[in-house]
Amino acid sequence: MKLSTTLCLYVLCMCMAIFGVTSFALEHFLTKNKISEAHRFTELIQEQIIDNVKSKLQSVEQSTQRTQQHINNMVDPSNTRMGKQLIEMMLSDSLIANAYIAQRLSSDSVSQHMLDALRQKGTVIVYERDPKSYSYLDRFWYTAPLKSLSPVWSRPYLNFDDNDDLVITYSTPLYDASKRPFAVLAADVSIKTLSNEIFKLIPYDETSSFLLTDDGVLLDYSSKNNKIDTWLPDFINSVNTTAGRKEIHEGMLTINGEQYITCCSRIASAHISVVTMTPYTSILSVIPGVQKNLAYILLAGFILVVLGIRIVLHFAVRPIDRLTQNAVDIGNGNFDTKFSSKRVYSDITTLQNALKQMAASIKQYVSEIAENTQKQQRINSELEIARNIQNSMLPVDASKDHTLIEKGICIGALLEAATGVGGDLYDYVCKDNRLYFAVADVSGKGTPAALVMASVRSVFHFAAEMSLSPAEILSRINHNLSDNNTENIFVTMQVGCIDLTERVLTLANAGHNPPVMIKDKIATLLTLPAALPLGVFADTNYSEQTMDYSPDEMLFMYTDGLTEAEDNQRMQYGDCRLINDINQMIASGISDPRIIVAGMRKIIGSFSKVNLEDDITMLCIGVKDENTAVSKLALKHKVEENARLSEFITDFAQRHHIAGDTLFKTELVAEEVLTNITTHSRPSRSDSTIEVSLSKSNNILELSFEDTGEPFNMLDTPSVNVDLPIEERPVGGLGIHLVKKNVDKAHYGRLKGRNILILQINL
Amino acid sequence: METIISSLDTHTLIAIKGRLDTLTAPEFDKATEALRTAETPGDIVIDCAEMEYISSAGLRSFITLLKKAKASQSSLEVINLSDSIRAIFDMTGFTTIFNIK
Repeated sequence: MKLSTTLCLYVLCMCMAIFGVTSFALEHFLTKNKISEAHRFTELIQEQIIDNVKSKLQSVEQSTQRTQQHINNMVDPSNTRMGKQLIEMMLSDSLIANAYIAQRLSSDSVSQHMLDALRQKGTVIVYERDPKSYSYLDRFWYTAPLKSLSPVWSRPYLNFDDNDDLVITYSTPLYDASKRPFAVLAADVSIKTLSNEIFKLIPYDETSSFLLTDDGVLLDYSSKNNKIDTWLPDFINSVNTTAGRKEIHEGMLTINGEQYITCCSRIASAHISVVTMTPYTSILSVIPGVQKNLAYILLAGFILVVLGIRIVLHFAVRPIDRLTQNAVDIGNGNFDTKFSSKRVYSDITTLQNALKQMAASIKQYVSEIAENTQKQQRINSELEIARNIQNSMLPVDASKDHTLIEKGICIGALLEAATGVGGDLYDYVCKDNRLYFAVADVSGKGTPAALVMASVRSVFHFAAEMSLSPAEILSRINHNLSDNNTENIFVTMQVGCIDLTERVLTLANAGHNPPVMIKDKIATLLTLPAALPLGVFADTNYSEQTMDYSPDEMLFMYTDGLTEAEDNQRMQYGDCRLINDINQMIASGISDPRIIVAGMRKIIGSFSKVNLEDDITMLCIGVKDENTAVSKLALKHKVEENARLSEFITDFAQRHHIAGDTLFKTELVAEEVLTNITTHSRPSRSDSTIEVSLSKSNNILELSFEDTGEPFNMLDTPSVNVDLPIEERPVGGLGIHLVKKNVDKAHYGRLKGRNILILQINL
Repeated sequence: METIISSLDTHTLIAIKGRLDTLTAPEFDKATEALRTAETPGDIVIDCAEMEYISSAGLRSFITLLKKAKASQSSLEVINLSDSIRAIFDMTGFTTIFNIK
């Protein structure tokens, strides 16, 4: 994700959080405000209602008292009887003057005259009521003022005479000249009229208003709540109209899970209470309108902020984007990437400068590497040539050398340089029925050692050609090396010579590892007189040791790369393991020097598991009995060569008196081996040969095959089940089975990219 | 190597002269191809009186022929085995799967 996007997301999250908190706080604040406002408003309305009602009632009181005074003034003190017409007129005037008075009564306790004034179709009429139709002498409005001699408000009561209207009555006594009350002037105020006035004044549309008596009797109500019937009785019970001494008291009420603000005010003179009840929701519903607008504004602001931030960030991180592109370019190898010249933030400039410097450094570094690589390649190719030259200095494989083979000499040899070229050397030369051989190790590794090795080799060859003895050869080389040995390079070397005629072995040693002598099927280290390595002092004398050499003896020589090879725990391979491993191979019947060297290579490979740190050289020499007849044949890598092979064997057999079963077996084995090699093992080069040798000693016929194909050990192939019925038998696979069945000993080894197979048939 | 095939009244006689090895086995296979591809090859007798040598390639040809004979319910007989060749037949378990006389 891009940095700008990430930053934008962070800012977005923060804005959202701020927006949420603000909205919440605002809503909380508004709600609280609105509710307290609702309380105030409700109280205000309630006060208005009370004032309104009170003023209405006061006007009733005033107009009644006025009429009372008028009447009192006009009453003739001598005549207790009032002028009826005059009173009628006054009543009528009073009714006209005060629209709230529904009915006005005047009565005389003695004559029981009663004058009614009321409105009919807009006009005021006054008439005298028949006392028999309406007895008022025990009515509260009549008895109370006479009793208390003061004006009195009645409690609400049903006026049965007129439309069963609920009314309250204000009544005041009338006095005659002797100041004795003789009549009551009463004014009726319809509760309906009052409630109409009250219910007009409500704080909210959903407010329900109730008019109750002091003792909680519902007189009238107005409500838009359609479920009012279900909770009205409970509500009436729960409202305490007289609660508190205050004229107005507020409270909260919960009915059916809904909250209401209630306000109760008492009009003491008229013995009535007004209760208003406003649902909480309708108070709050006023808020969202405001809130919504505010929310929209906030949201719009929020979006604008986000957009703004996105744009600002886009521009802010542009230098980073440009730097990123530069870095990508550098990564792709374009070190001349163009950096922006705009001057931006100081830290980005620092970063850009660092990147520039880095690109320049890398560019220089890369060009240096390229140059070095070129040099290295040249060196490598030179080294490769040097290696080839060095390899070509090694003697030809003994198995390809007719002279050696026919003399019964069998040699297994291996040289592996740790680096391209090495300072190890093995060599053998056959001169006048004498086999000279040597193993040497030049101190140090690589090219300098290789140069010295080449010099040692040529002196060895020269000396061998001159038929010098091993000690003389060492002396000659020592002289040669000691002259001008400014680098103090020294060489450890072992030189031997087997006189094939005399069957004598001579060995001389110059500070080299002791060789392993395999005699009578037991391998031991052959201790030779100690002597300094070559190249130390020019005048060092080298001695030699001469011993009889019998067939079946083998000499195994090596350089310290073998015994000093280390395993994972840096433990050295050592002489003991060497002797043990060779003895084990001998015990398993191996008697061919090539197989021993191949076996040792395999052992050392699995011992050290890591790459060799030093050059390794092994040379194993065996000489067959002098009576042994040996023949050699080189075959092409083709199955058709079976014909030549067969001819070679028949020829050998004829010359050496082999016939019958042995010949049959030999032919069979040879054919099967060659067929398998040509079928299963692809040669490394098309012109590479399969070297076959056949030898016959007193009691053993030995066939040896050497080929350059891929590693292929036919002795490892699983054996064929020859007991299967014909239906289950595979057609092929019998060849190797026949080989294994017909030979008495078989050994395989892989050496220097060659498969070596030795097969022996006892005679 | 020479393969002589003669159709007799009761069976086909295959006489092998010389060496039956890796190089000559294909010749033998070719000579006996008619027998191997025939729907009913009939009973076969292989005369080895003059066969000097046999290698696994020859044994392979024999197995191919025997498999065909078995499949078509014919019999295959091998006669006049020399001792050396008989030893090879023993080594490879052929004496148990071939009818040898």
